[in-house]
Amino acid sequence: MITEVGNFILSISATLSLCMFSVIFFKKYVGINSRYTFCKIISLTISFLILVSFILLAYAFLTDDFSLRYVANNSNISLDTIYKFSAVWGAHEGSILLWVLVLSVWASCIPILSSNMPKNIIIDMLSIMGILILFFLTFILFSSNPFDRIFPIPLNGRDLNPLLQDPGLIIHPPMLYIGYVGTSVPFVFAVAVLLNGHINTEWISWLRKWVVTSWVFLTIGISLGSWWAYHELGWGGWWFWDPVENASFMPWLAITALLHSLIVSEKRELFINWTILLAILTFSLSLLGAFLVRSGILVSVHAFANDPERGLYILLFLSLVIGLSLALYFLKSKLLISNNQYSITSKEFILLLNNLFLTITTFSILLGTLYPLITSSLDLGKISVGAPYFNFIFSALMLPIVFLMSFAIYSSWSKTNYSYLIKKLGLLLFYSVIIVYIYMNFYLQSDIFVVFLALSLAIFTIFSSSIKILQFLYNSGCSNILKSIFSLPSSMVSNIFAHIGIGVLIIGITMSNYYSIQKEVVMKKNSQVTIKDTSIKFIGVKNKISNNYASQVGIFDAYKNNNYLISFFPEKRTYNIQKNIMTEAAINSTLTRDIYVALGESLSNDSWVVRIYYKPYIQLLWYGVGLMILGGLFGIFGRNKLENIK
Amino acid sequence: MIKITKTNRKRIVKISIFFFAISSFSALLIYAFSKNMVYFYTPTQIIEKEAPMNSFIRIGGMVKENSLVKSNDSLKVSFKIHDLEQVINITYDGILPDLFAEGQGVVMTGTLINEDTFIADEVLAKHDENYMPPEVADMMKEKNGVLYKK
Repeated sequence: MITEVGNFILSISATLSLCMFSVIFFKKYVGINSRYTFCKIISLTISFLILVSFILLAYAFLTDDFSLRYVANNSNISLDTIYKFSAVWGAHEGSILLWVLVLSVWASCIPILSSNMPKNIIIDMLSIMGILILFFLTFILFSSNPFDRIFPIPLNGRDLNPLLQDPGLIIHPPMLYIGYVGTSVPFVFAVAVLLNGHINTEWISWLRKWVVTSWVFLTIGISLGSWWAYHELGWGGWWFWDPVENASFMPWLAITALLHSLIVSEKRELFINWTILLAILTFSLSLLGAFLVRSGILVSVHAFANDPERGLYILLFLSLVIGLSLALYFLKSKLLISNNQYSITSKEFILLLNNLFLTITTFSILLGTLYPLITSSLDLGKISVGAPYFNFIFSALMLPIVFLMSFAIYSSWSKTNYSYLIKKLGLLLFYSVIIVYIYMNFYLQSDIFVVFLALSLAIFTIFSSSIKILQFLYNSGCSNILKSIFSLPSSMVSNIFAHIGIGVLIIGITMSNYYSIQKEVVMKKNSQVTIKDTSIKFIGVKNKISNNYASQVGIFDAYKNNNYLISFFPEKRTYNIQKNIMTEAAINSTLTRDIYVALGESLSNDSWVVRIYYKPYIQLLWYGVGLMILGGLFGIFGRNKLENIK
Repeated sequence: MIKITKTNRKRIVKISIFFFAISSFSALLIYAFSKNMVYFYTPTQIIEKEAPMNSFIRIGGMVKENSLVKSNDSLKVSFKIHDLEQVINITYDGILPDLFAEGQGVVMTGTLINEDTFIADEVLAKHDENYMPPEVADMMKEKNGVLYKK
């Protein structure tokens, strides 16, 4: 029953999205209002129908309906209910369904939140959305159908990949997808604008909220994935420059660049062509990510499908989208009026440099990710590009961006009084350098130059951003502090929060990368290991049986200055169905450090290999990301100008 | 002669800044890229001396049955890998991945210290029971093909 209904609903949605696309051809024959109403209703209907099919699939999972191949392959009677639900997007077919669901919801939000946008632009945007939705729906129906049957019906399913049975992974894919797919909005906007040959700053400021929203979700999604890797993989790392991670990071960099170029286009009518091109490129990078992850070219925990046909289909679509939209861009972009006058002492010039650096960074990551794939598919040898490449390139390109950030915050549009700026920021930079120098020499007793550079720039950014906001509060002249805090323009608050977040993030990354202590030791019962100022005593290992796995739980007591601090219970799990062994690390976090204990292998009954890490300030990484997200939220929900102050 | 006006001068400054930025990044990129490319070799290629000594490479193969030797009081292990033709000795000081097992595919990064001994810095095994590292899968397919022809 579910199979028929599911397929029927998906086919209807595909037909409707074709109808929505065809509206673009009826410009001359049907009035604008009826086309608009038609598109609005159709887009809402499509997202409703796809939601129903999604709920159907979820229902099949929750009721253990193993007549569906997808359910049988990815679920099991003994799986926890919450993981039965998250298994809906735990593998290829379901995740594509989630993808198209998110896409259709984004599409139906466009007319609802259209505010002052002209109807013809909205109609064109929706038509393009129609063809995108149609593509993904046909992809599902012909090559990745989650509603396919299996015969004979198995009594029990093959279980969800144990790596995915983790709280972090319940919401990581939806968040990431909302962000990923959100890049389709600036893309359809760019195409609609190119088709109409006209743009104005009001539209750009409208688009900016969409881009910020998608940026926020992408940031949440990527950081959740990172957080999951840190907790679940048992290596204490949080970023591996794995091609799949890069596939999500490239759109993030591109959309971050887009965010900044949109500001310039909105405020100064500058770089409009570049902004439009960047919107196209960002979506192309999202599709490229989908291709890399879904084609089976890469083998990793993210790549479920090893079906070359699927890869070919996405590749074809990818080249079609990039080819057609770039052709349109080169034909039509001259029509867009863009101001081309800017001075090198202006804010727009610094933001241009930001875009330049971010684009080059994206390109370098793209090169490192694709080059091994290209040589391997052309039989030119098997090469891998190691993490040192990415680390080197990334830090070399990020440090100048971070340096420029403070200048961007303090400079003004059109022309900046540089002597004043340099005096002010030079002093701040000087203080930051002195503070970091003192800290590193007397407290850390370390003289790594890169660390010195990174920390100085991070502190500089935090200082300059905080002082900017304090200065604004001081100048606002309100006697009531609360009132003046609420009177801050949200664009400023959002920008300051995000940039302080970057500073905090850099401190977290640098400190935890350079000053982590790791020990891999053989521990016998009641033996002790001291790491930094904490000694960790191995008490023993006990067995635990859970629903769908059996585990060995290590018991470790930590002492600091001979006072009991906390106990650690790292686990080694063996999942019943797939016989996978999983390491669950035990982590104790405070602001200044994480202690991370993971079980290795057992050498004999009471002697285990144990992995213990001391990671200073790694929590700042998550706080930094949190601040960036908070900044993004201010950008979405905050008031634009000082309009509502009484 | 072209007169250098104020606007022209500004334009020259802008263009040279971009030119300078882009060319220095390209240099940086090429340098970092060429330094960090890691080539993959099979045991046969190593025995045939195609792989460089004492430089960072990746190798892969199947872990030979009954070849794993563990130490009792340290993390040092040694084992052999093969590609159906040649065998290479591996030494490693660290924790083996959860899914490391004899008879399974494995990929390592590290350095070759003589014709048939490799010191591994990092050992990667599969994610689940069906997964084989792609390099090893390709290699075994090739070798099997050769065997059938014989």
